[in-house]
Amino acid sequence: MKLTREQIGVAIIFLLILGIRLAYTLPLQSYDNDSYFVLRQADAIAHTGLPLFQDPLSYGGRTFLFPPLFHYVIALFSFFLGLELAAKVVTSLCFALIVIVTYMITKEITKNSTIALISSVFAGFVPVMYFEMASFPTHALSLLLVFLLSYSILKIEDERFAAVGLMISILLLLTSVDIFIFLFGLLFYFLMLFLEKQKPHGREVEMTVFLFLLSLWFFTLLYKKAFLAHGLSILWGNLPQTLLLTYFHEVSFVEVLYAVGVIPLLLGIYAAYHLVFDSKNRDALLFAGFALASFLALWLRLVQLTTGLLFLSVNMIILSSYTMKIASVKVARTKVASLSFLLATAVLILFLLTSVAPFFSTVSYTPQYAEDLEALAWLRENTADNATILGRIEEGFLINYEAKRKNAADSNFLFINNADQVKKDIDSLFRSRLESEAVRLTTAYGVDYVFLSRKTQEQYNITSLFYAEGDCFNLVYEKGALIYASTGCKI
Amino acid sequence: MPILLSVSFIALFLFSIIFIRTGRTGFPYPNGESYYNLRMSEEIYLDVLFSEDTLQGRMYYPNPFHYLAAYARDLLGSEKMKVCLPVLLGVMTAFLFYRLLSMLGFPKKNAIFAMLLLVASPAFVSTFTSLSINSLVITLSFLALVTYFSKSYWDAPWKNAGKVSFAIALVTLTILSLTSIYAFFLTIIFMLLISIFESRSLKTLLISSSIPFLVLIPIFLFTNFISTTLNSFDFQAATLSSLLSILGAKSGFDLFVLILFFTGLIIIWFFIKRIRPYHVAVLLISLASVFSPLLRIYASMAMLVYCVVAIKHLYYRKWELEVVKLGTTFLLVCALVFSSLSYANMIINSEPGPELIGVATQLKSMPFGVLLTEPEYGFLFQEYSGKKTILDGQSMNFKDYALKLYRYDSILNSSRIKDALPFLKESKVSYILITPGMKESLWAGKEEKALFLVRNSERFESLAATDSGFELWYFRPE
Repeated sequence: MKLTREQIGVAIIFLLILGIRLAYTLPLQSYDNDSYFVLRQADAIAHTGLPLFQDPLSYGGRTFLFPPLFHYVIALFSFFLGLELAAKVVTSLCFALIVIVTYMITKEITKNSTIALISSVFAGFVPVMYFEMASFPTHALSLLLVFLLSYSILKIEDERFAAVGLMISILLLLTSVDIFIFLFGLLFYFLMLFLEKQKPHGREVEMTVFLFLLSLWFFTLLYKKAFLAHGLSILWGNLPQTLLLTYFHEVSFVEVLYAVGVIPLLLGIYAAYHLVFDSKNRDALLFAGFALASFLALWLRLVQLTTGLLFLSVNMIILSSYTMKIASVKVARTKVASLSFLLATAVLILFLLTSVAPFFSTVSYTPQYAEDLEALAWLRENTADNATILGRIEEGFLINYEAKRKNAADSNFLFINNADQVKKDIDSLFRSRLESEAVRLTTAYGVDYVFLSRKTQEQYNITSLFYAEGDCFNLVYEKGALIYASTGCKI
Repeated sequence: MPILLSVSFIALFLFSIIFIRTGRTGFPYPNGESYYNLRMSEEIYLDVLFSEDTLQGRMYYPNPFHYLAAYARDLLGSEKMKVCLPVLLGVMTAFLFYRLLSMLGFPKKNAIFAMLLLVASPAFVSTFTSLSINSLVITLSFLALVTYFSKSYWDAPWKNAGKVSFAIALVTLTILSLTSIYAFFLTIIFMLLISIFESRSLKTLLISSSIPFLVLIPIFLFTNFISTTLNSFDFQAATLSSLLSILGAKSGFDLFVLILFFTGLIIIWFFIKRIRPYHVAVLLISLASVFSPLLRIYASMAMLVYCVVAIKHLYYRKWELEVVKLGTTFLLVCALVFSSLSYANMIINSEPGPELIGVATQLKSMPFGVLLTEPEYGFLFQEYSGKKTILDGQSMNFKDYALKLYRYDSILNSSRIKDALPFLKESKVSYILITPGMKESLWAGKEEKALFLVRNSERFESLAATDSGFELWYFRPE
């Protein structure tokens, strides 16, 4: 099969993006804190075939509930590449493949390969794609699957794509709850069609009904116990109030502009306006609905910030292709039709200029301090297997992975009662000056060692534990990071 | 035959829940009013003129349900009554529900299907797997509706069968008014609505609702009965956790039933315009039911009619994608089965658990004394240990509630014996049962206040402790 110039172009962009991401991530020796959860789960799958739904290390023993497909994919790759390398490759591959999916979708909407190629450049270099270079987020795979599913919906008149759509939706269910953003996008799409006095295709409605029921059933089945335990706070992971603002950040226009890029955002907004008031392009309308759902999910803080921005940005890029199509049609009717190529080039250059600065500033990550990793290695070598280590909540999974020991708390609060109290107690243990209070809390959480990492010292602005000068805590390690052992005092 | 099979299936489903729960935990019902009703029926069984609850030291306000339970106990024996009475009432209600739908013109097959779907209604299942007054109330309500709107009365009003049917309706309404005045009013409203929609005489309705009032008025005027009947109005604040069974609501809506209800409502709204008033009425009742558990039972049963419409439409519709049709049908069946089983499992595993059998037995063997525990467990321990409790689910209906609550809170907030002692003596508390719920909600899992007191004071002796966190303490008198 002979490839066109544009298809070769897309392949080059894909390889370029993959190369950039791997070039950055391959040398990394440490990752974002929550990524260690992904690594542990993938490791467990590689060894036992099953994820660690019953984890003996987190909180000293607890239950996890999550769709595990992403972790299975990493585990599969780990057989050939090693665990950490597999995680880096899978994550980079997922983000890079968005370029190809974006090309496919925009080609379908605009019927113009050049515009589709430009959109794929946008998708490859949009700043938000580089927000989490040192982590292995599940939404890397879910983003890819959601847009593949949207492509299947676009071509649902073809029986093969209906079957493919079904398969992708099942994979998506096993990856993340992000499918609901797409489903609500479909509902907005039907609403817009209704307002424009158009009828949705029978297949679209049938697929939506089926996907909606399937998703609802699957996730109520999976999270049934969590719903009973936590009620609606499960939608936000039962996070304590103080952590909620960190993960479900209020979004501002400037942040959206920064993440999506000026050109895709402006072109996307124009496309949305044109679709609602002038045009009857059903394909583009689907993504207008999807963009609206993404935006509402972000604004109402129903999704984490980066997840929402990723969905919004890809939708805006797809919609911006529609604007470029309108512009190219209009220019083709003028006497300067030959300038359309120059116009496209100008847009591309503008995009690159406006995105380069954010690109370089977002691609910066503060790695874990080497001293912290060494301290965790020391814990692994010098403490009992069933010892419980107290660190910051954010470091919980890092402790499990590097030190292979139990943590007192981590950032997953599912089935944890009194999440706010836990957060308050952990903060107390780093700030408190009273030895009795520290002993009470360490006894309550069964803590054997307190890990005062360099990052913890920076966050709490301390160099040691105030209460550790008494007899109840001994300093057993001091090389940048500090480790205190509890001597077993009782109140 | 299909009716018999459906009714048998419902009976088996309800029976299985109670049976498995009894086998697993030793207690037939979840915590709550069921144990109060059980105790009252036992008292009436021993003395039919029982008028004072000597254990709790308060008036007993008679309720026909207790008399029915006492009679059933006499007929079947205590253990069989606990299982058979709720199941029997459930089966009767299911059959009456089917009959009502048929009388209103719903096709018989669809009415049977709606009857079968009752097992997917958490409100129906929770009502008829417990010994609750609502189980009799709902049955009487449907019996009144079916007998009042019986064709033998309306098609040939003055023939014998019609007279009997009308008489049964009057008697049923009267008993219903004595059982729950709120349910009586609701039933009259339903009769009014159906009479208007079906163009029936409102004069007849006026007569049939007046006769129970004539019975009620002297009772209200000359007894203290009014306060307990007025308590049948169960309005409460609407929270999602009390409305959706997936969030743990005891008498809530199932999520899939809700989705199918709205789907069916939209479908039937556009297809059959003639009966739109019914749809509006059902929608309004459903909306109002967010504030009332009893109304929620009625609403959830009415919703099943629309669920049948939705399921049948989705099944018989011409689908463009056959595989999606198959998948959707399979999903709907799985979702409804999963919801039923999930809710049944929730009832089976709800408190009280098996560990409390030992605690109750231990407490029963101890000398008489007052027990301080969560009000939710009050009825349970009154029944199984024969001990008086400071607070229970009925306490708020009596004048001394504020004082008892004050003493209860004061004891639980005291961490020193000298602070707690006056209240312990005033309440004559001899036993304190600390529950896991109290540890979480009152003391955030920490050893504080009353928990600290009982564990560290010499005046308290540990009688029992379970792995799940229940602690029974004895308060030693001086």
